Amino acid sequence: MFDVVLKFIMMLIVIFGSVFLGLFFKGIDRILSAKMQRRIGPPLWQPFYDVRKLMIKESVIPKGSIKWIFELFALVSLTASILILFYIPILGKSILGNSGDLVLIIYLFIFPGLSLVLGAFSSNSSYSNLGGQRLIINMLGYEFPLAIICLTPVWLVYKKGFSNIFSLNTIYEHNVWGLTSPLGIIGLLLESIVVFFVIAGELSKTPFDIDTADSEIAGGVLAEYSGRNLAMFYMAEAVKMIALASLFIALFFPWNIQGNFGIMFLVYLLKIFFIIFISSTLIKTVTSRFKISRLTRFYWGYLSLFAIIGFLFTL
Amino acid sequence: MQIIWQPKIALIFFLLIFFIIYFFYLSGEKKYKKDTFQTMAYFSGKTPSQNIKLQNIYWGFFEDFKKLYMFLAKIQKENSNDYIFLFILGSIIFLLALSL
Repeated sequence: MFDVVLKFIMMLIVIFGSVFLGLFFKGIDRILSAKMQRRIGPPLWQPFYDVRKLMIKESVIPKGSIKWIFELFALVSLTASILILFYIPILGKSILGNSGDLVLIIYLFIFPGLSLVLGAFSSNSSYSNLGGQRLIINMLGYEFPLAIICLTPVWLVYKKGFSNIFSLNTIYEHNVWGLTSPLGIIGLLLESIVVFFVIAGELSKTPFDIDTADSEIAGGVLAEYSGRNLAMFYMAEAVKMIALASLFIALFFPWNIQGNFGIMFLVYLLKIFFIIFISSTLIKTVTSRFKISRLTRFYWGYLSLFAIIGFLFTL
Repeated sequence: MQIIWQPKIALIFFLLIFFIIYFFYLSGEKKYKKDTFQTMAYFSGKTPSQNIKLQNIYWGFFEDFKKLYMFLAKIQKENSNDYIFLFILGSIIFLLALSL
C-alpha cells in the first residue's frame, strides 16, 4: 500500500515538475536567444504567462473539423510527453524503468509528433494539412539517425557481456565512455554532435521548423489551434524538451557528483541546460530554415553518415 | 531483473496522467463564438477549391533523391525476370554475408 502511495506521489511530482521545468527552460531559451540577437527578450516567466493567457482565451474549433480528434490529441500529446519521462532514469531512478526499455521509449517519442499531425489533419485547414505533411517528413528524417544513436550504447553494453542491454537503467549504470577504446570515444563524440541536431529536429526548432514555418504557412500544424488546446501543445513541447534531454543524459552523459540529492539534482539541471542550450538555443539562433528538399538529405545523408561512422568506431 | 514490456501498466499510467491533465484542461475557457467568421479555417487569399492531396507527403523525398529515383527508373525494364534475378542475387549476397 505504502509503495502505491509513494509511486502516486512520485507520479504527481514528475507530472507537475516536468511541466514546470519545461516551461522554465523554455524561458531561459528565449532569453538567451534574444541576447544572442541583441534583443532584450521576454521575462524568464513568460512561458508561464503564455500558458495562463492561453487557458483563459477562447478555444476555437474550426468549422468542418473533426472536433473530438482536434481536442483529444492536444491532450494525448502532453500525456505521451509526460509518460516518456516515467521510463527514463532521472538521477539513476525511473518510475517504470522495469516495465519498458529503450525501444519502447523510441516508440513513445513518436506519439507527441503523431498527435500533432492527427490534430492538424483533423482541422480542415490547408495550412495545417501542409504543416502535418511536412512534420511527417521531418519525423521520417530524424528517426533514422536517432535509431543509430540509440543502438551504439546498447552495442557497447552488449559487447561487455551485461544482461538487459536495452534497459536504460543498465546503460545509465555502466557509463558508455568507459566501455570503449580511444577510437570508440571519438565515435561517441561524433554521435554526441548528431544528438544535438536530432533533438533540434524532434523539437521542430530552426532549421528543422518546416512544419510550423510562421512566415511560410502561418504556423502550419498549429495554425488553427487556440486557447487551452494550444496550451496543451505548448506544454507538450516543453516537456518533450526535458524528456529528450533526460534520455540523452542517460545514454551519453550519465556522470554525476556523488553527494546529497540537492547537489545531484543541480548537476542534472545543469546538464539539461547544456543540452538545451546547444540543441535549441544555439542551433536555432545561428541557422535559418531548411528547404524541405534539403532536410531529408541532411538527416539521411550527413547526420546518418556521422552516426554510422561513430557507431563503426565503437565496434 | 529481466525487463518485459508491460502494456497494461503503460496504459494505466497513461490514463492516470491523461485524467490529471484533463482536470487542468477543464479549467480552461471552452466557450467560443460558434457559427461566426472566427470558426472559418484561416487562409490568406482565395480559398483553395480542394484540400491538399496527401500524396504530396513524399515530395521532399522525391525531390531530394531525384537522381537515385531517376537511376532506378532507368534501369528497370518492367520485366518480371529482372526482379526475380535481383531477388536471387540479393538472397545470395545475404546468405554469403551470414555465412562469413
